[in-house]
Amino acid sequence: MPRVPRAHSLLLAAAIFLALGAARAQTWEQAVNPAAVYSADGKPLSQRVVHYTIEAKYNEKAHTLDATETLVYRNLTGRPLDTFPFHMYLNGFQPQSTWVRELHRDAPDYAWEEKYRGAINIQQMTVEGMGDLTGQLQFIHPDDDNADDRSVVEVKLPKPVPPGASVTFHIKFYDVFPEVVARTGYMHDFVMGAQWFPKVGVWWRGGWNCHQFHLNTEFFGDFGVYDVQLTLPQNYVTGASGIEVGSRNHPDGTRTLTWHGEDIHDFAWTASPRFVVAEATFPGSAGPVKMRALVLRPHAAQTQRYLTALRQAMYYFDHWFGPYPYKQITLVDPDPDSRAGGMEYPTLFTADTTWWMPRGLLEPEVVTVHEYGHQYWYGMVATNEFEEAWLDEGINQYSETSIMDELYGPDRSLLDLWGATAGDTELFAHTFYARSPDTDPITRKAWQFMTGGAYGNVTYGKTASVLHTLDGMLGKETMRRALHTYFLRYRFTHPTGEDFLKTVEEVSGRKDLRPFFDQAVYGTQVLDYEVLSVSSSPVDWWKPGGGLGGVWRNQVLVHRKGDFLFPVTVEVRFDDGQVVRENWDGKDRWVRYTYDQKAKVVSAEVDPDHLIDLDRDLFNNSRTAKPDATAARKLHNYWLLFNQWMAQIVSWLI
Amino acid sequence: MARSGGYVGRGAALARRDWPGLAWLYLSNLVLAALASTALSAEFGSVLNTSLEAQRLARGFDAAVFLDLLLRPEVTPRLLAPASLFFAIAFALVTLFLTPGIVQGFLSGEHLRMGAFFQACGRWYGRFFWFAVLTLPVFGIVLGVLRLARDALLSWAEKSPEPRLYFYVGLGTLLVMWVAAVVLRLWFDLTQFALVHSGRFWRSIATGIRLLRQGCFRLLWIYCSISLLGWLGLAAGLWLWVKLPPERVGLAFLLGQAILIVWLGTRYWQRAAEALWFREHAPALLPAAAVPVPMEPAPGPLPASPATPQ
Repeated sequence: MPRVPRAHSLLLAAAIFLALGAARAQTWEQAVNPAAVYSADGKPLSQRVVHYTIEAKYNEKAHTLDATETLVYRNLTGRPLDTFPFHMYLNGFQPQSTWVRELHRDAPDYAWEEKYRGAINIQQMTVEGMGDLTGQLQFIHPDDDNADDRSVVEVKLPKPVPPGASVTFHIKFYDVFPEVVARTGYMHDFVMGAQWFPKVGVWWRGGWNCHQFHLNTEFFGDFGVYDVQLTLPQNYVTGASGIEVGSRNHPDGTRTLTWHGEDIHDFAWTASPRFVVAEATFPGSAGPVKMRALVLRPHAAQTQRYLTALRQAMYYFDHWFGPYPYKQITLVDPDPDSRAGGMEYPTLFTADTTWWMPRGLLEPEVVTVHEYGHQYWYGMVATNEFEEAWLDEGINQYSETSIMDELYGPDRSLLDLWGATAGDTELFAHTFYARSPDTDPITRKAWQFMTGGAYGNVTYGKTASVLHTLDGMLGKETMRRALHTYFLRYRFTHPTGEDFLKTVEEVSGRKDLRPFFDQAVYGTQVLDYEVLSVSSSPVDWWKPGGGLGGVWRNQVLVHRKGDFLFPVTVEVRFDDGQVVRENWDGKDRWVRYTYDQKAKVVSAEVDPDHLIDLDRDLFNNSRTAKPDATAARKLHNYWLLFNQWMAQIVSWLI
Repeated sequence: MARSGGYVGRGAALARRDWPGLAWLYLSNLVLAALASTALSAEFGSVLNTSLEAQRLARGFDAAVFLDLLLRPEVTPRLLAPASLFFAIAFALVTLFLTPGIVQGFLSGEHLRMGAFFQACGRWYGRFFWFAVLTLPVFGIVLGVLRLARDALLSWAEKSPEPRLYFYVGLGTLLVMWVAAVVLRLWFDLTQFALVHSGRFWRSIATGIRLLRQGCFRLLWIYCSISLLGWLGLAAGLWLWVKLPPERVGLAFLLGQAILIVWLGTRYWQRAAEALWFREHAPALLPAAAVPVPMEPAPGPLPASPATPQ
């Protein structure tokens, strides 16, 4: 387990000092609410395009929510704007929606039930200075022809908002939460309020970016400030994005909590009477961060596992990539039946476990490290999850697997139980990738992947494998510097894939990476090199009594099986202990290495240092002169025992 | 009346005396399972035998490497599942064939020679087969109804916010289903004993029910006591398995076989103990077999009156 160095306490003190100094220059918002972030110069960390003020009341019996929303939108686009699209994500949970259509396409056996229905209805929308525009609202379908999809609504203003000006929307809306199908809704007495309010799209690259809600897509939003008042039963323990700044009880048994978030691009909340709260502090390089864990009572025994994993994740992200500037991070342990686990929101994320989780299965740790990682790759570096999901999920998968491997060792960073082991990188990067090596380029828009499985395998697995392969090409330190630079340069903005790739090129100083990017990032070529054969025969085989001279002609044939061109190292071992390494540019279809010497070849291996995670098939990377059936016998043994046991069970019946 | 411990202990002695029956069962189990496993072994071997990556499976068990292996097109475990099922059914039929000889041995006062053993197998096989055909729907109906009840209870438990409730309800209902299956199994065992003893098919079924009503709890206790020992043996075997150096494949094979022999032996022992109970309680209800089974060298008739303990 890594220890937090003492130097950090100095940084911590400096950050607190700077934060105190910055407090003098508070804006009006900060005078009302304490700052939710550490800012060295007192300035906002982001452009703060939006400011949402929401007052909501949750009905825990009906699982509904009544709310009013005030949105102040700053037009920083440089042009007048007269149309505004809003995400209405909860409408995705309706049988005719694009989200459910895509689910049915991928899983035809999926049975729709009314309890899965979610809805968000705008009851009134007025715009300051322009009146009631409720009648102007129109559902649009920018991605497909599904007229029944109601996940994006657009309003056209009677007059445009000039560049640099602000416009204020007042929206009264009503939510119906589904029993959780994905991420948001209720399960038992647990509720996850995510994607729950009308949320304006992002003006990005010269136009509105406000996609429909798809099965495989996540989210995209503008940075800003959130002030949210939420009224719930008093016995509910609540967590939310930002920091809690107020609480007052009402005679009717409800309580109103007030939350304030800055420089975040979404707001999520959760509540359950069964949450047990545990808190700790992480001494981050930007300032102390309150770690707040809301863990369901049946899982309380695992609270320390969660907090330890969170602390470790915070340590590595802070050291490798940069500071976490928010004052709080909230870890939510959701209802295990809720399908709300393993999801990220600004300054809050949901983890995942079960009450029986054995120590040797590191699922809570993996999920915690992964979801915390999204505070960086999504939370701060806010890439477009609809169009370039690899930039958050893929880079984050790479970060997670790197940290887990660093913490627990690459062979057992996911599983170390009863003699069975598995590494996080091996399983959640390489094996994912190997399941869909050529279906889609990783840059494909999330809803356009061949299937949901391909989306996951490519976006998470292949991207992580590409980045681990870059580890091998550039060195881990260089890759960490590249990600550190990328983070510092693009935090609180919406960078693109090219921004990332150019940063890698710039930091590594390598101008020859484009062929690799073209194949690995933009292409679907499959990287697969194999040792086709190894052989030894006497040089003088044709003489009567050939072979008596003791000189062997050793031949190693290496084959490029895939269409991905990549230089590889081939290691040849001989029975006298000699080891020879060859470097092949990998461009031709095959290469043959010949060695005439007294020793015989024992084995040959492509990529002997195991640096090319992108090689689809690791079994054919090597070949031995003599077969060794130990592993096959072992697996045969397992299969035999299983068959014997199964036969005994069946025979018991008669 | 003898105590359960007496039946368990004497059952062990009887099972030990008639060990060849167990040996036949084990050998057929091993041979048939080996036939079912050969193809997959060849598939694994074609990928692993010359690959250095295989060391990650030989020197441990890397689940990620194993999953990678299953992803390869030349490895098709799903296609091999029907073969496994086929051989499992074949073993069940072999067990059915051997059971009359085993039962005959348990019911008689002395060890059966091989000829007599197989003579009994051949003589009763047809009736055992048809009886097995009758028992399967009974199993299906009883366990099916219990399964429906289990599903309903699980559905109720699922609504609870307490996740452990679902687990415990699932476990509890599984236990109930297991006990019900064991009670049925006891009835079928008693019927098989009666069949060999009297040779009368339908009457044996009724006798089985009467005997079960008479000694259900005692028999259940005997069965569960021996099961518990079997489970303990299994747990000890698995504990040892985990402790074995991963590359000791031969040793692991022997240990695995030992576990399976214990498992098979447990069932054999249970039948022996039940047979002892039967010998002491059935004669009052049943006439002796109409045609005594010939024994070698001197026919060892079924006890003229098995009511007399041997």
